[in-house]
Amino acid sequence: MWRFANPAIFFDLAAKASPWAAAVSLLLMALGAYLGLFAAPPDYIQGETVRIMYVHVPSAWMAMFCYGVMAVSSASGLIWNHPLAYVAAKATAPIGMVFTAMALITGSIWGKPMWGAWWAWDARMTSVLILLFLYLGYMALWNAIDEPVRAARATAILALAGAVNLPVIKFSVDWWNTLHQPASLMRADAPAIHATMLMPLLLMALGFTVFYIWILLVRMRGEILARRVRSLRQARVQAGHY
Amino acid sequence: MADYLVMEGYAGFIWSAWAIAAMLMLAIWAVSERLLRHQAALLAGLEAAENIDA
Repeated sequence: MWRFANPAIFFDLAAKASPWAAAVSLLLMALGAYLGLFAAPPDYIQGETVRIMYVHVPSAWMAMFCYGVMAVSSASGLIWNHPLAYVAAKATAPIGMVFTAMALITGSIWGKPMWGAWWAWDARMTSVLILLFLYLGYMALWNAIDEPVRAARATAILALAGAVNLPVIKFSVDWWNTLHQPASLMRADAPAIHATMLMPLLLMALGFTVFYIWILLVRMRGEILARRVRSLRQARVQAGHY
Repeated sequence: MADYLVMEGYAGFIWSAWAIAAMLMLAIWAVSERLLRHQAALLAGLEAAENIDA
């Protein structure tokens, strides 16, 4: 298991796994999109607009999941000082940022016909907006510090501190009176959603998860190469070639 | 088919939400692939220079 944590072995493995992840994610998303847009019934209250749910909810889940991965990878990096842990955290941030933006934009588009407003300073929406700023801050901090080891440690601390926002997002609809509806699927009792709607939702969620893995593998390979480029350049500078 | 262009009058909201989501996913894929290719080209150039120096 640990031999896969070697950057060179991981690079080759990721190159082989990427096309498979791409194919599986595209297949799952195509099936989920077909069921969500054409086969699933309209909601009895929200009518056809419920079809926005099949992109909005999985992107919101992924926004939180990616931050969780970033926080766990950052903690692993700080504890074991493994370079791949920092690479995974750094590679996850832009993907998580995109999922968060997707959740906010699709939520806003869904909110207009249902609530009559594109935006409200409701606890759920505001905490997700803070998540977007955390992603942006994390990426800005990586770019602001030139020395990679210092940058990795500083960003890891930021990622861990920001993780406190995850339970706030999850329970915001229970802790405060919000315009946003409470959880329909991840509840203590059974999911309050019919199977005909649950199936496309789960397919899209699974498709988004595999899409994340695909893009993560691509970005991690890019970051491993960037580190090799950096060390080769440093070696050439020390050898007096520049 | 016409139903999907109307969708109770909400087709504009529904299709634009899906289109924006698809575009964002396409964008992160394109940027990530470009980054990987860029770094691969940089590394190939540096390794070629190393071989010449050696």
